[in-house]
Amino acid sequence: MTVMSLRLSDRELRLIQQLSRAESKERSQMVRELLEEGRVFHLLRLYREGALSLGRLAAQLSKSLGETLDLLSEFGQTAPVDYGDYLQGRKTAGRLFAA
Amino acid sequence: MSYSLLVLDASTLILAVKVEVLPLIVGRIPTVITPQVAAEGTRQRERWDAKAIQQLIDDRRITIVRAQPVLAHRLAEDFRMAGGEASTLALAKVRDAIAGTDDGVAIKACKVLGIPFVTAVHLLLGAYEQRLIDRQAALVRLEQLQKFGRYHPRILEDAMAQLIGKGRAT
Repeated sequence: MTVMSLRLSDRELRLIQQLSRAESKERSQMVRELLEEGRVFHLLRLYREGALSLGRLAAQLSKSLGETLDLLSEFGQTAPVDYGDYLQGRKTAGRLFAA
Repeated sequence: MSYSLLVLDASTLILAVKVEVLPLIVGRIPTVITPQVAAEGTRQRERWDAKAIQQLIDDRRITIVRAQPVLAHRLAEDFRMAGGEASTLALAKVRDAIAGTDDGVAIKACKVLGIPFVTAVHLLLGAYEQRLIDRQAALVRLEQLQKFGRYHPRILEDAMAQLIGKGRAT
């Protein structure tokens, strides 16, 4: 692993110490885990905001699409399909099934 | 205008398989996927949904059709989509087909490109209206879709109303 030095505020350092004590982990391990969890949260937020497609989210998470759908379900993330989209889709479905 | 071809991306493909609606639909509507979507949907072969998708492909109930690579690449770049989503829209555009997608970015792209779209919940409602599934089974599958598809409550309320308030009595 590579060693990297970075500046932290007193509050940030205190938070890391508190968490590492609470979970009986070394501070560096705690920081690595928080970094990864933060990355996942950040990607989920981008997906929710419509800045990331499901396929790109899955690729960024290194997961299959099925796993990614399960993850979204686990986090209770609402699908980025709004009511207007749904109504538009209903009209289209009417034409599809009438064909 | 009526459409006779459905092109699914991996999100709708997986959701429709998870709630067991897809096998009903493919017998009624010609359904195709691109090679990229087939790869995305069957990537983890140990998963139940991947096995079900592979079975539909092996039985030739879903056909795999290539999209124009240049158009798919351009759509992926323009709309920041993955290969499966972009190829689905490229194929739907060229074939004058309906795209099946539950992805927000892909839906936005469909609107810009003038591609008609449906989601997994529309496929469920369509299966019910076509009497491919009875009301009780449709309600159970809507409940499952809520879990996997994570639709907005207003969408689910409307879909529930469609199943309870309309169509044949069972």
